[in-house]
Amino acid sequence: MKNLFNTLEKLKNKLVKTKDNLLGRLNILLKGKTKLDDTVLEEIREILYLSDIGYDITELIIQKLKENIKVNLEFKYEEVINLVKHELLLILEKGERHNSCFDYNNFKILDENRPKIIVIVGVNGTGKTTSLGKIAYNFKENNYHVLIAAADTFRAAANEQLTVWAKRASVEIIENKNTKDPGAIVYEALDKAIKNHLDVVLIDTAGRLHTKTDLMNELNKIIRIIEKKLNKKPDEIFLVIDATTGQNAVVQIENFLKYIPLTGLILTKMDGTAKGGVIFQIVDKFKIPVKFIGIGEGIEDLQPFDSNEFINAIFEN
Amino acid sequence: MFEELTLKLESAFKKIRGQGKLTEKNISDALREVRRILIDADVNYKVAKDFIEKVEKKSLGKEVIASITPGQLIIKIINDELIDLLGGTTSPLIISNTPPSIYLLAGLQGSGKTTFAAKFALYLKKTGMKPLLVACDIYRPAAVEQLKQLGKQIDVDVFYIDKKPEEIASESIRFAKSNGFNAVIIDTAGRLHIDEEMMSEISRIKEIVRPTESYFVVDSMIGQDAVNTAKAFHDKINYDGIVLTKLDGDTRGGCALSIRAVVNKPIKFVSLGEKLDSIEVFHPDRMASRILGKGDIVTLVEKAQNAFDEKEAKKLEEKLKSNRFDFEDFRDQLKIVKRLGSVSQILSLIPGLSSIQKNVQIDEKAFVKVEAIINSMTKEERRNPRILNASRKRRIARGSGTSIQEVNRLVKQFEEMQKMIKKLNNMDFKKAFRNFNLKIN
Ligand SMILES: Nc1nc2c(ncn2[C@@H]2O[C@H](COP(=O)(O)OP(=O)(O)OP(=O)(O)O)[C@@H](O)[C@H]2O)c(=O)[nH]1
Ligand SMILES: Nc1nc2c(ncn2[C@@H]2O[C@H](COP(=O)(O)OP(=O)(O)OP(=O)(O)O)[C@@H](O)[C@H]2O)c(=O)[nH]1
Ligand SMILES: [Mg+2]
Ligand SMILES: [Mg+2]
Repeated sequence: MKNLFNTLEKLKNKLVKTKDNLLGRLNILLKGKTKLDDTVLEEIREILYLSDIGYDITELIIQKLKENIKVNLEFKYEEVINLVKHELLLILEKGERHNSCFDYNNFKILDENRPKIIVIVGVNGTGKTTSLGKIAYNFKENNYHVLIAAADTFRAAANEQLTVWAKRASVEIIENKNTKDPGAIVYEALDKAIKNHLDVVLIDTAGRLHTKTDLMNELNKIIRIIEKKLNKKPDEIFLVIDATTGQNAVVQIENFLKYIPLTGLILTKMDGTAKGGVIFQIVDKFKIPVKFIGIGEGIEDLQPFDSNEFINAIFEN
Repeated sequence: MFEELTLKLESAFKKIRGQGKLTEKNISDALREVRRILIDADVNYKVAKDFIEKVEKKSLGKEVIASITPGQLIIKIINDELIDLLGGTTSPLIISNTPPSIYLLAGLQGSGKTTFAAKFALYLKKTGMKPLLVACDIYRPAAVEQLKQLGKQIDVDVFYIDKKPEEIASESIRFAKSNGFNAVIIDTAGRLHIDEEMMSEISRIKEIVRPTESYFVVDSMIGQDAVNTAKAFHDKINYDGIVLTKLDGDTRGGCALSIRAVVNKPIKFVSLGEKLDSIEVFHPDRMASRILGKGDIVTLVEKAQNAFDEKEAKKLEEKLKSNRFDFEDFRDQLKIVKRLGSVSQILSLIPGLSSIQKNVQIDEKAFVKVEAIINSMTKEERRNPRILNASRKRRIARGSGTSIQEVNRLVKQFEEMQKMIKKLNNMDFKKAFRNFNLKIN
């Protein structure tokens, strides 16, 4: 990718902010301390909580610290940092899966089976359409034939918004001007992809709260249409999560999973000060990998997710 | 709204209640439980800690320990503190003496500003004002188009010119004045509070238009970061109020407490859905009582009053009194329920139901089915359900794409409802109807 270097630099710069706010604070906190006493533990607890990491994981890490570092005795600052890092990494590793037919570091498709289908879902306003535009652009940059399906037939100007993204990425789009049926749009896109031997079909769906049964059923129907037409599950179903989201993200995934087989997460708006800490719980509970992070509103502001890099970036000095 | 928070608090209080007499120890144990609940609900960690400390101090007073009903007293303390934290009394909408009243919206990306702008316009229109929507988001793809389409849906004019946001805003005010608009609602682009350029832009817009009120629009699913964002926006534009969006989901909405705690500004409105009439005035007392599991019957009644038009209500009342309620009326009522919003939304407002609701999967489709069945009846059958024999029911099932069992069940439930209505001599129809709703599921 010609812009890989640029993007990496950007990511680093953007994550610096995260570091300043998040566990980077641990550095500052721990450097002056020599004893791991209740006050220090409580401060660690506070930092973890304030990162949306949630009750269970925070208390787990505190527990581990207590087990491994003698309370009230001297400790080395690196020990604490490494232990927290290690625990967080262990959690993220639970989500790692290697069966994907994509290499997102290079946006390469790894097998011959065509067309590849990627469906983007999530609650309202998380960044589905924007992320889809970025993904389309990346595949297109590698000369794949990409088709976008505008299956959000509900939100005002969703079609127009996606059309702009299709233009930016220079890819084709099946618009929904003439139908309000997302299934029909998906069907049309698949038809076209098969006939023209296209490589990737990206399906944008309307934002929906996980509590709305009828809308969730609609999503399930879209997936079934794909399965029926192609005799396979979609290659990816990405749930998009806004990094500012709190504990509700956990319930969101739980509910989406009841209706559709998610394969990965996209964590957006990581360029803000929110920590996206809720992903630790999500990966821990549902073993779903984070595949991308969104770091801005531009077409290049998407990064493949890497657990090590993510945590290192958080702790980097 | 706050459904899970409500549920969890309910169970914590049950624990207190079960223990009978209170000691300092079990008060602080229970309160630790409450603290966890608050954190799980996304209340900022520090805010939750402060809150619990306050409650604890008050609870440890002799009055509580000596009380025969200490649990209830603590609940009252928590309730009062919550109301206090949420802002005390309802904050009125400010309307300018010199029209137009100008309202400026700001917030993070995707928080629901544009949708709220349209909802707010419709809300003002219903009060008899003539609002103008102004599209100042020149960045997000099709943002202007989005506002235009929403404006069209509610028949409100949308102002846009191909210029910088500051200029669009200032010209919109001139336009409003010379064209008789008495309210101007300015939709702006989503922005990060750490984006200095964009933050100075919103601050410039504010200086130029001098809004009657400016609102910070925030997604109620937001986590711990809410305080940082709310504060940064406040520092920059010193907004007058807060709008909480997407409360139609099951978010515990703890950010409402957090934000109130860090910026001393009232929550003005809540937004509860994608439909443009799903907007409500925020009531701190109701919200607090809702958190504590007492439900929000007042909102429900107000909603019902809005949806029922006077004449219809009178007609219905007469029918009920004379026991002439038939499937025709029933169908009308279904329409009203639809107008009220989603069924689950309505149920969440009824005291004591928040816990039931967790277990009952509210299938909105059940209502679609019921309506289909009724629609497949002839007028005569609707008027006089007694003539529904087996062959008629078979026809209805076929016509509505349902089964004969489903038709039977509906008829049976309807008969029960009629019986119930007979029992209720006065206008307690809503209750009867409510029971019916639950049975369908
Ligand atoms: N700062 C920042 N903004 C983002 C990012 N991703 C998306 N956005 C912005 O978030 C807002 C919502 O993005 P959309 O892509 O429209 O979100 P969506 O999930 O498709 O929304 P609905 O279809 O309405 O549910 C837009 O203003 C985007 O520009 C990101 O990574 N960082
Ligand atoms: N369920 C639900 N969805 C909402 C609510 N308010 C807004 N939305 C949806 O949330 C998404 C984002 O809403 P917008 O109004 O576009 O948000 P915005 O703040 O204008 O977004 P940007 O301009 O990109 O910053 C859309 O899909 C809306 O339909 C609400 O109260 N409930
Ligand atoms: Mg979208
Ligand atoms: Mg907008």
